[in-house]
Amino acid sequence: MIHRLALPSTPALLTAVLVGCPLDSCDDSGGPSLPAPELTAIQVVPQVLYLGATEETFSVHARAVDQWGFRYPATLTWLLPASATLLTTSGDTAQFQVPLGVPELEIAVSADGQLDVLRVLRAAPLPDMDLALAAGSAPGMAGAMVRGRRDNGACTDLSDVIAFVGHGRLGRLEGAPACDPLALVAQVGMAIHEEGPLWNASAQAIDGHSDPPKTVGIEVWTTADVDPSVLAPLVDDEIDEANAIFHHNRVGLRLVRDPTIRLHPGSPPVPSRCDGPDYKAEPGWMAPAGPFPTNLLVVLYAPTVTGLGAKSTVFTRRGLFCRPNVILINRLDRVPTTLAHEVGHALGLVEPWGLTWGHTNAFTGLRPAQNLMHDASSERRHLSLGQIYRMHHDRRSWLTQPLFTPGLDCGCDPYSSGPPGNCPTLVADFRATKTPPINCTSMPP
Amino acid sequence: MSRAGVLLLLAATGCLSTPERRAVDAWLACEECLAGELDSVVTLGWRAVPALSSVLNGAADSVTRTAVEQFAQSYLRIRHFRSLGLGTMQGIDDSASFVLRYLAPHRAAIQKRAVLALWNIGTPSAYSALRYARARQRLRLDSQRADVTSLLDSLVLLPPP
Repeated sequence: MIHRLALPSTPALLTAVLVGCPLDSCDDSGGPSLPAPELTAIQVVPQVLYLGATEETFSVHARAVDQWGFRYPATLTWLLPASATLLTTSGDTAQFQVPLGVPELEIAVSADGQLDVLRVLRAAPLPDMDLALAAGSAPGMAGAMVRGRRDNGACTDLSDVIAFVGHGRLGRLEGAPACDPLALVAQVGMAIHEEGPLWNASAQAIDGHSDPPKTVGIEVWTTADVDPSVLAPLVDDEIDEANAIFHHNRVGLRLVRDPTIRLHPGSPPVPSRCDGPDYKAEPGWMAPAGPFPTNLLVVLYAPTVTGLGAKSTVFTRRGLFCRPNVILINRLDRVPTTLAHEVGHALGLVEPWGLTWGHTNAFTGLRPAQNLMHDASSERRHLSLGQIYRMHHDRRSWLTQPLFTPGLDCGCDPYSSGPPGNCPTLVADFRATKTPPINCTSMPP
Repeated sequence: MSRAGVLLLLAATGCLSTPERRAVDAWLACEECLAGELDSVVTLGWRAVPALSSVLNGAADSVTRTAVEQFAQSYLRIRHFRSLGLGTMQGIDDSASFVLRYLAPHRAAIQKRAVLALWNIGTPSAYSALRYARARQRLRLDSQRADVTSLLDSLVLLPPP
């Protein structure tokens, strides 16, 4: 019998950093040291798995999590009773086989003293239903909930599918997809998001898994009142923050700064906003007038970045993106994630256009406050599959602009309109480890 | 007490409901502020004055606390990323220096936003709060105080909007 161990609560980062250091008395001396990165929890996905009446083979995914919530490279040990068989392990995924006669069991995964348990039940979660796991099911356990019972898990007709399953949860079915796309989704390890329409994984590749990541060259500018040698290490911190977030979310992109920080001549005036109205409707976006190059993503650390609020009051923003390639960052009021956030805008995260401008504050279906594109959250660090996809392929992304990678534009549909299928929705997320490369340009128009 | 009674009490005392408090926090914390955050606070009128005044007078409000958490998380991410050999090879400040690098201007910035919101609210109590802050000179963060004081001076000396 395997018992679930009590896992430690989410570590309080602030406690580690500022213990005994009230806000008003912090100084540069005597601060407590930080703990080294360490494994704090194992999370198995899903937590509960329902096997159908005939399905015997399934895959389970487990995440080792460090103290700030990122995946931790740990050696996982799978513990299972004799009634089940461990078929294969690959990274953080294991495939099991459970004989038909076993009603239920528990499978544990452990690492460095942490443990989590998957409960496997031989029953459908709802009456008169079966869970038909698509062949080749991978992390996220994509599957389909069907009426009645089936002779095998690989469905041939989804006319009676009533729901999808991902992350161990039920999702609603949109449209009437054919069986093949579902199977394909499962084969590439895509978890079907509970709020998103089915995405036809055959349409386009996910470059997020590319290794090494694609380089995005940026050129940093500032004004003459700043010593570039002083600004450089601070900018590099923010570039590494962006690259760390991209790395942990498997975005497949890496920002690389041109070694020279350039000084804006100051004439014409250093832009603090995009030319004309801050946000013109497409295709009228304009970059600030200035001496900026057109073949690199420009990041201007400006003395101020302005916005206009109530009663025509001018206030300062922390950052702003001006199409096609200029990011303005308020040198005197920014946060470490400002650069990463603005790069997200530059790489196509601007939908729903005119409503949230790519910000996730009001989104449902993902963790808006944890998302990098939240406009104010202190927790932002996550990017969904749908967002990563648009960063690579959306026609609004800098990466699809003619000067960067001519012709690479797969035409993602916007967040809330257009036929589903070409792209995962913005809220669609993934837990896959590898996606087979598919030539983007081969997709149908 | 009935829901209506609670709302009446909140209105009478100037207390903000949770959504209203969130609206104030959103204005203080927003980065691009494209969702009308300032307008939302101004709509609250005089009832937002105590919360904004508290920020203006240097209270360690929730926005500041969560900002510190954010900066600390960033520090840990960068340090870990570099420890994996994936980032630049340069070192990184100690944690307190890193947090303070962002915290000082951040606190000044939210004070300036509190000033702007109060000025836009424009009620007698809002103006009193601005004058009080200017008279007390309790704005913190010496390196940034000039900015906030200058803004206060420029607005308080103007007629109400």
